[in-house]
Amino acid sequence: MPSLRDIRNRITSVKNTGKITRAMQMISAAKLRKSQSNILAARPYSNKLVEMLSAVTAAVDTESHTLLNLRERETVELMVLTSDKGLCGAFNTNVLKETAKVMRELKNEGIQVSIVSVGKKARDYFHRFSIPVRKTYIDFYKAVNYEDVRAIAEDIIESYTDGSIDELIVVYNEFKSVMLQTPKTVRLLPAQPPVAVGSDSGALDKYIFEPSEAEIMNTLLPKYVENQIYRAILESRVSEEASRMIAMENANNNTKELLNKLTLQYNKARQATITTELMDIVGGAEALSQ
Amino acid sequence: MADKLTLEVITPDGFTFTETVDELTAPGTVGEFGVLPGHASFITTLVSGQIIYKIGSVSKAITVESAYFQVSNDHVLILADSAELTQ
Repeated sequence: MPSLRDIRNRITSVKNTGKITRAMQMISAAKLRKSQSNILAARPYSNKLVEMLSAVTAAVDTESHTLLNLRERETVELMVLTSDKGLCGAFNTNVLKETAKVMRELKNEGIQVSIVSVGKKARDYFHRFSIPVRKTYIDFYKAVNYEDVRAIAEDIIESYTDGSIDELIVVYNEFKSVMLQTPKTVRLLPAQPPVAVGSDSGALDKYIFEPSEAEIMNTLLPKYVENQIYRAILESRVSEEASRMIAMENANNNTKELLNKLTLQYNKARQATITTELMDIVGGAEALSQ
Repeated sequence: MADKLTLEVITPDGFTFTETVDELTAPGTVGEFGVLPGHASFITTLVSGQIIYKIGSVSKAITVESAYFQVSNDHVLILADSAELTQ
């Protein structure tokens, strides 16, 4: 039976934890709203870019563009998006589990895996299992910046063009709803924009390119990759906050439950001491009167 | 021609702008060019500069930074890195 003071200490500590989780939940809610509006803002551009690219690729010869070409897979680059901070439920675990699965599959096929990790949690994970990482990016989640993303994309496109990687796969958390985020694996390189719908190639062939088809494609394709990575990062960001918010909400509920239990225990213990004291006094008085 | 152009400007940070215009000129990488309704399907890149569009006799401008320009079926789509309405 723990003493009164033990229980009291326990209650204070649980209360303090509760304060932290409540604050974190509120912060997450605010950040979630912000990052959700970010992704909503980025969506129209992204959609139109994909549309434009698919209209264009339908009209060009894919063989002549490196970024569109399928080639023998010798080295596949995995880009893993996790968060920098923990306390967000299964967010990171899900992505890393998915990554491990993809890596196993690739290794079974005898394909080399090269890794780009984004976020501290991914870095720590690969470090723990001593898996070599080609590039690590951390600490840019606070404010996702298009310029930073462009630097990442440029680096990847460069290694793709010089042949050190043959494919790029991105693993990240897809934001389905506040309650549901699922890990998603997407192949970004070689680029495969969806085929333009409802437009027969006859109409598309008429596009005039200026200055030239090659030059347009050479800027449009990297742009597309950049944009897709940017979008994945934003998506991951929203998922992180949503995941954290839910995790903190659960923590809050647990705190409440635990507090109720502890308070009951405390009151019982207090009553028990009072009863014992009373018995002592009554016993003493009786002994005196005899 | 009675037809008009639909001008649409979009940037990654959420700026969108749609307007029905009579004509426009844009700063292409290989020189400034104008677009009138009925233009052939056309894709090009733009350098940073001003897109000047006319509605009736009023002309207005949007400043864009390195953008893609696509026109098909009288629909002009400009995907810019950044854009701003110029007063």
